[in-house]
Amino acid sequence: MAAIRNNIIYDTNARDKYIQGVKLLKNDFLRTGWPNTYDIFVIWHYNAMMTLTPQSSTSGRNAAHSGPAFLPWHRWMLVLLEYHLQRVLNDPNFGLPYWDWAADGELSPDQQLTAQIWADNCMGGSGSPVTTGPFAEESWQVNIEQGFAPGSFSPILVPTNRGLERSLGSDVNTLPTRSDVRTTVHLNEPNIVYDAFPWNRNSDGLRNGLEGWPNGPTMHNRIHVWMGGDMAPSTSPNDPVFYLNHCNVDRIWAGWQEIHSNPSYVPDAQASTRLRGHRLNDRLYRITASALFDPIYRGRVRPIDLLDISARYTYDTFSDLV
Amino acid sequence: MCIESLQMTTTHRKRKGGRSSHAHHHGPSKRSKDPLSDAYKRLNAGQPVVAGHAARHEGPFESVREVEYKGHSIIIRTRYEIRVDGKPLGGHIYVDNSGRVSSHAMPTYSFVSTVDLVKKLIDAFPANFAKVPTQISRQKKTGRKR
Repeated sequence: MAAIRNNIIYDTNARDKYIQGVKLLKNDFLRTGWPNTYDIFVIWHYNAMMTLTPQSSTSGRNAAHSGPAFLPWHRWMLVLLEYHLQRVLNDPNFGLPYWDWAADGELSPDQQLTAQIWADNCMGGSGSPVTTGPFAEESWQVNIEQGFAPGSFSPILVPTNRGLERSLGSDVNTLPTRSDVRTTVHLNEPNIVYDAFPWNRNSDGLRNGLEGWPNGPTMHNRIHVWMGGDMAPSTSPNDPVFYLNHCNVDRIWAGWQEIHSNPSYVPDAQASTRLRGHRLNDRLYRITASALFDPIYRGRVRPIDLLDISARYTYDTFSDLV
Repeated sequence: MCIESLQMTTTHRKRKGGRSSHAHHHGPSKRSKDPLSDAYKRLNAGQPVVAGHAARHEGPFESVREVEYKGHSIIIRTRYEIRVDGKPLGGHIYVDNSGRVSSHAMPTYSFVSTVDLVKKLIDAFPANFAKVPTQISRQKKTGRKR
């Protein structure tokens, strides 16, 4: 049975299970000598971001961002996290909840800071460290953070042991709105495209619009910037809100697919080898060979495998997208 | 601080004398059987882990924009050389077609000016830009004389 992914504000059962599940993953070890399962995703995300595609890329395109694979790579990441949450919760029907941030984007800037998502019984609030809610310092530890090599601002991973940090509304003071989302869903109409040359931050199409580079930060990027703190650097999965944001991004992609009768994923399999890792039949970047992967995909996932997700999960609604 | 690449995305080895180099420049090196375990071991030992392009930050980085316009192919190359407190600061900066700049250090941010980018890095990571006290200021602080 496919899991149903619901709005975290309306599905309190999914909300509570999500909180419980990510905490269980912080104490779950798939293999001796590995970090806890939650932190593996943090390292995986950092590594994907540091993997330029191609290695000589001068546009910032990497294995999971600023290129066509942005949406399928994160879809896979969500599927895998959902699989592990189902495992530790012993609930094969558990569906990741999403944060409909555009609903909050309709509020005033001050009201956005106190929206329901930041309540004590949901994600908790702002602070360095966060002191309220289920991820306050005493109940959620950040173990790996981004640092820099000496004389450089190239990101490295360093060990740490501290509470979660958020700085809501500091760097930009508003979230994307319903209108922003609808504009993105209908970008380039009637010539709807998923992505386009030069396949990076300068492209037309849904991927770049939804990632949030044009006139940025917008859409997905703007959520990271609006939250600041641990959501800002390459280790952003340290904050469990990372997945609620990406689940909403994935929902918008799924809605776009449905609204526009499933436009083609591009680049296709015959595209230039400079796009390796992003083409329809290329394997998506992975961090390790085994143990982490679910029994269906088993770590061998291509964009083409992720275009129809109806067998694995569905979303409660796309009605806000049109 | 000793930094070693996590051998997942590029192979990386140590030269004689300890300076790191990349295998794709200097020949093949052995891949780890379990890079995740290697990374965790390093982190547990209090050591940093670096992957992929983050290990290649020497010298000015070039950002390249490619644009097709009315049948013409336009390529614009931009190089940055940054110094903070007199010290060179390496790293990748990307310029998009609107002229905004971004960096993997703050991967979802973009700025109208590289000045704003560097200011933000200083604000967000102050420890990385901490000034080492000079001998004179140390003496003043401690009241000791040589």
